Amino acid sequence: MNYGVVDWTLTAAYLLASVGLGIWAKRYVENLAGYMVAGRKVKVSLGIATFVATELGTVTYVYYGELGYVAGFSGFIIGILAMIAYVLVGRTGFIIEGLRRLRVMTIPEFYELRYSRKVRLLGGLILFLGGVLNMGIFLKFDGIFLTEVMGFGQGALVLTMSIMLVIVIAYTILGGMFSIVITDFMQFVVLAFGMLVATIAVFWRVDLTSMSNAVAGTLGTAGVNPFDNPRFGWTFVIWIFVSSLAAGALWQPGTSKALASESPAVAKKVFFWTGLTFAGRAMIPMFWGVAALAFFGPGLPSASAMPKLLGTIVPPGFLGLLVAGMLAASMSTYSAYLLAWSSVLARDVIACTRQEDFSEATTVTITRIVAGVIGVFLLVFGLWYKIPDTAFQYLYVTGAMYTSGALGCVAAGMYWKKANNIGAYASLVMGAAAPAGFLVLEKSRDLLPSWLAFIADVNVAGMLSFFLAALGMIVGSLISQRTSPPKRIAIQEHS
Amino acid sequence: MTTGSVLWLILFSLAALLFFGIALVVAIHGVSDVRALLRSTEDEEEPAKTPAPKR
Repeated sequence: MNYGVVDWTLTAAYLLASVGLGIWAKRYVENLAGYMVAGRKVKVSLGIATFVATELGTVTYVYYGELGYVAGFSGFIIGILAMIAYVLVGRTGFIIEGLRRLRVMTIPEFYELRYSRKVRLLGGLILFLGGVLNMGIFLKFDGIFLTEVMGFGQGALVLTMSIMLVIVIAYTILGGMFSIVITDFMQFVVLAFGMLVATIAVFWRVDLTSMSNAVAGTLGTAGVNPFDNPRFGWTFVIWIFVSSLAAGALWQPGTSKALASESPAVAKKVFFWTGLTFAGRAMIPMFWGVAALAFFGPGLPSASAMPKLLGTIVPPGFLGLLVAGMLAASMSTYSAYLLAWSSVLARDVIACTRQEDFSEATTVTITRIVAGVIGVFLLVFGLWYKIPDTAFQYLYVTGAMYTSGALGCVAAGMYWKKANNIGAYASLVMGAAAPAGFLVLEKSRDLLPSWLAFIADVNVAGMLSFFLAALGMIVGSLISQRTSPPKRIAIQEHS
Repeated sequence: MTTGSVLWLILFSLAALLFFGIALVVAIHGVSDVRALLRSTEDEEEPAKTPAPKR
């Protein structure tokens, strides 16, 4: 067991502080806007803290660490692509500025404004399914990390993760976005400190020359050139860039940070500065993964190698800080995702099956119940599901189920006058088809006829989803301009 | 070290500096943002608690 008394004390103190702060913040929630978008009063620094904390969970460290271990330095390209995409969204205000001006609380609300209530229902359902499937593996990877770092068995691990999840569910259900932004700030400071501790420990124990030699010896040029690496290549690079652009603008947990900002200008600044941290967000854990390759050599289970390294090289005492940092990262991610998906199911799916919206109080109550149910689902799903390919690719392909159709619907809805209902339906359905096909068919990859084998390639399925969504929107809209005339909305008037 | 490794390590150093630099600035300025968020919410609550003046 790697974990000492000092480490336990630090971890317990952090968990108690999180719970206290999260529940204390509940007193500031007065209405639906307070619960879902913190009253739209979040300023730049707090916005960056909550955005970074949301997009950095323990699962992020594990899947990037895994990529560093199996792909060497060539995986670093993902960080560069994500940084360019998010900075571009922040600089131009692509989609997020319009959504913030319209004062929507969830992305599918835009579908009703621009298309129809039924498109909102369909878009909300796809977003919810893609989002919850995406989130389903988080707990499993948190488990791998904590098992390796703390040195516990699986039984203790399930207990630790369950306690953490109960704490997160409690303050998310009670305090909504208010509790999230306030706890996120504390969690951001703790997780950044934890990352610094881990990076210094890696520099201390693993020298750069041995890392370079390990990559060259194990992977050859595939370890430094992403276009030579069979996991990546041009399809992957284009897919990840388009996907990062779509996720930057349209991934509900992240976009909700723009919707909670005090103005459209603040939303753009939050995205710009957060975007600049995204290269480090990917490269730092990948660097730890490359260090694990140098330290242990190849052959370890890929997802466990990096956490095993940190559990080995970080000294007792500091290990408690590191685990507190990782728990902080997980809790901030769970809370934001729980609120995002539960608010989508409550407002955009359940409410849209009726003619009229629920009252604010009923919406908050439904959102709270759904958040609790999602929490239980995470525990069950996270324990039994076997992940195809690497975790990184699973997360991007489940994300693409929604983001591809959403990119077609929202981008065309904002910037193309001819976008209509039929185009929106086609875009949502066709965008979800390729990733859903991948998730189902890759389990029986060997039985597929040769002409359908391409769908079992995660990179092709991801790239195809964006192509099909765009095609669906363009063709669907153009052939039905007379039967389904486009609806117009004035984005400027709502600012 | 190979040239490819050196290039990626230089990019990694810049990315890590940017990450931790922004984290430091945000950690310092974020405290006043949290205070402003809580203050503005409390200010909004106040008028509701004050009884309306009698005519």
